[in-house]
Amino acid sequence: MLGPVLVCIFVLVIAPLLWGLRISLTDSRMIGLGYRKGFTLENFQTILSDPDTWNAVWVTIVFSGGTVIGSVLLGIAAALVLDRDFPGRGIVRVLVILPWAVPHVVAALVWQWMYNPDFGILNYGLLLLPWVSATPKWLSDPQFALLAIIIVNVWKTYPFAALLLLAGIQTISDDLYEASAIDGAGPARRFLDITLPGLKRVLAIVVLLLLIWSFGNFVFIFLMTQGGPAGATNALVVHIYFETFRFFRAGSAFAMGALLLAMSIVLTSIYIIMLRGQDND
Amino acid sequence: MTEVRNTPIFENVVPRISRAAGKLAIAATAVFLCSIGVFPFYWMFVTSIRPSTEIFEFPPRVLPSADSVFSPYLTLFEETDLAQWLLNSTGVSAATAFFACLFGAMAAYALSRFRFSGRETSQVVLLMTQMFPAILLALPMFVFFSRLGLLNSLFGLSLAYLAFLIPVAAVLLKAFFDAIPVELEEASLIDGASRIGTLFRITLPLSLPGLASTFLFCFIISWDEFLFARMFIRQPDNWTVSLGLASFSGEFVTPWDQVMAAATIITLPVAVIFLALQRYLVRGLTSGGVKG
Amino acid sequence: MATARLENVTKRYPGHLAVDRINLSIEDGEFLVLVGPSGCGKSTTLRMIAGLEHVTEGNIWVGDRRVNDVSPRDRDVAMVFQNYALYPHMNVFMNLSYSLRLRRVPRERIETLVNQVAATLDLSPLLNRKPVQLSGGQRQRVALGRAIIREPKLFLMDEPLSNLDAKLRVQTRTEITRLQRRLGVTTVYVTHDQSEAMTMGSRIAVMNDGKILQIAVPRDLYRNPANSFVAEFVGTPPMNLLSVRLDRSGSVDRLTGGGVRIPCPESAVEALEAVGQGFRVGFRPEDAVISGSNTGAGFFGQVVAVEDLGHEALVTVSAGNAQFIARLPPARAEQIRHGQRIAFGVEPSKLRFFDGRKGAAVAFPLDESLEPVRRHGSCPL
Repeated sequence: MLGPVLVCIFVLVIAPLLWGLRISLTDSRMIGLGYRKGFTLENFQTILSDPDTWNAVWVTIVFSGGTVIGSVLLGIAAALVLDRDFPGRGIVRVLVILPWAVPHVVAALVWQWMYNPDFGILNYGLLLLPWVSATPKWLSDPQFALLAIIIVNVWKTYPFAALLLLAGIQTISDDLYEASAIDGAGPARRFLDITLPGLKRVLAIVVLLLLIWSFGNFVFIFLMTQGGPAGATNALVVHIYFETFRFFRAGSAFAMGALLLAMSIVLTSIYIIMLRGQDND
Repeated sequence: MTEVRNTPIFENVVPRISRAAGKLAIAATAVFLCSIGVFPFYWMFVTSIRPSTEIFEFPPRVLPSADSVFSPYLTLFEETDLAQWLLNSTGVSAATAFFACLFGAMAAYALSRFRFSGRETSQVVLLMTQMFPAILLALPMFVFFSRLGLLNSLFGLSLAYLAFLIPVAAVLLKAFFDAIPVELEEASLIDGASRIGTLFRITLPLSLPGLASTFLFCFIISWDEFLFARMFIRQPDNWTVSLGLASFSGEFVTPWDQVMAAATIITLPVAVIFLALQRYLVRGLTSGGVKG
Repeated sequence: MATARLENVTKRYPGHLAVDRINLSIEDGEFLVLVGPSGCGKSTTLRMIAGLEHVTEGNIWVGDRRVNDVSPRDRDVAMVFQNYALYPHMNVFMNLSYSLRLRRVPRERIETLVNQVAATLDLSPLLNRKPVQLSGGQRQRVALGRAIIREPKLFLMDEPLSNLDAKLRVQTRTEITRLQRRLGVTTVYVTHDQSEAMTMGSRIAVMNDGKILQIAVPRDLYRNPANSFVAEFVGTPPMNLLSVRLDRSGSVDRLTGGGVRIPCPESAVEALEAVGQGFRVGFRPEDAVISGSNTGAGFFGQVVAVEDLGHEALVTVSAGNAQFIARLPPARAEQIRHGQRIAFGVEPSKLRFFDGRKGAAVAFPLDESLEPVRRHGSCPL
């Protein structure tokens, strides 16, 4: 029963990955049009000496890191709120989760519209604040573009962090809180001494998953900025895409793919080791 | 009982203030989170029913316009291929979800019920395959599919989706099968049912909720997918909703009312499914089986 | 109604021998209990009889048929599981009738049988409920009902009472035995609880480490354990055991060990000499005799605990390096104080001996009127 499925997975997943690695070691230019040199490290030499590659790696790291920080902070806040018992909690829960439920393309377009520098609601809102006099041009400003996209990604991913962290918080025994309250700890101390340590594992899993997914996030950047302006949001995924379909440099695209693969394998391995440690069946 | 409490007022004031402050902070956070969750949806809908003359106005009107119109919705169906895209997406998503559940269930059942060498490794492989950035799969597959003549075909797209959804379905369903005690199947075997009979009378009815949830989840992912669709499908009449929607924004003047109308239509069904599934998704997530 | 026979049955898992060449013959209509600590192979044995586990070696017979390769459905056995395994998506009626429906029994017949069984087990008002709506005891009865409705050749029960609370467990024990006697169905019952085994079984097989150590009626198991494991496993508190050697230097043959000396029954001397030096002596708590002064058949010890349970009292006495427990009538125990020095003796005929290494019981001629032999009439202590 499992056999055919594993064969499917091999043919559909593992084989393409390996084949991609193989192509990265050739001088293939146009995808699917073959190559002359059968084995060469040229692609890797080219991409590693190209500042654009390093820019893409840097953008990927900032994008993923920024997403994780924003998502986890908002996620913890949301989890703490949802852990409370108050009237209307069910509704708040649904509203908090809402961004997660929206298709990526829809989120990209709605935010693009809200970011619109001339007619966008966001800049209008900012101008209402007494201390704001000038507003950024968001997606077309190299200084703000990456931040703008991180904000969208945080908005889309934090509900996931919140739900997972909430599940984590609810596994912490109430006895611990009561014991520490009797010992004289205030709310802040209780959070630092009991909640955070209790969440360590879940938090690690959330961080890893968010990192892995952000590495692969294509839609937001592709639709909102196309990697621009001036490469400010040119993350690896987008860079690879354009390298293939705009510049037709398949060899170096696959070489960068190998780079991305290496980064993902490291994170994925850590993730799986953590998950396996949790349930040994 | 005879003990006299001295000045309870002072003892209670400080905690009461801090408790009130705590409640206020919680309420403020809740309001903030709800508004950032809801507002983009609100804005999407309000824009979609705004007369096109009012869209490019600054300052924008926060409230819906007095003379709201639903014409963008009609325009979408009359002048664009939205109906076709919806049909394409429904077909691809349903087919993909069905086969992902079918194959995923086979793998999951084997992993849940039988002890064999390589079981651990298979599970790790299933988890691993879901974790790679999609583009790493998309590029090589693009090359394969172009040689096989599967580009521009919804069948090919569905096949590509299966590559990453079968593992997802397998991991999700395994958690469901694990929750069905083996003794139920054993009891049925002793009671006189065959293996197949047990599968249809006991195991399947009990895993129906799991299968339904997994089906819907795979459906949503296929509906949402953009990268593969963008690379594989070029002909507009084969576009999925993601592609169709994205195609609006490339134009010089984006017809924001229509974009938002289309966005609303596309979001509605999956958002409803998603919210219905969310409690179960958390369980799947903690077992590592869900792609966000 | 049938007999069943296990012939050198072995179950081997990779790197682990779960059941080791056991032989067992289950007679028609008997209530055989397989008892042993967890992991002893008793459940595996039951599951092999049911057909849920493959037999590695040996043969299993139900009636005259060798069933090694017969699928569970064709063995005509019924089983009650520890967690009951009620089908959660079916109501009680459907659960009870599942096996009948599979066998295409006519509708009216099913209704009659279900109503009969439901009446017997007090389930009639519950037929439309789903398992989640039932209490633990009710679920247990449905599981029982599902088994008896088929009138199988063999009943198999795998710890069916362990999920019930203590009071209900004792009550259900009697219900099950009464039901079994009435139906007369051959039953194999697995439990880790020796008191359950002793009260329910018409015969008991004690297992440990994949082997059957002894098969006997409860009384025999208690009186004459075949080895020291059974001696310690059966009975609460367990048999008192002490490592001793035979000392024939004095005027009377004595057993010495741990600073304690006990007179040895003469009829056992020969057998004990044959065993050699290392063996253990054992006696049941109720066979201990406690008195203020030494009667000559024992030794002195100090009382370290007196536990009055109402219907009986347990007195723990420390002597030398060893501790012994005596079971006394409460009235008798009232006179005994903590820390008191008392004489502790055992009626010699009640002593049992076990090989020190293998644990096997040492056989010797029993003589109920046996007295310790005094050669010179002097006091042995």
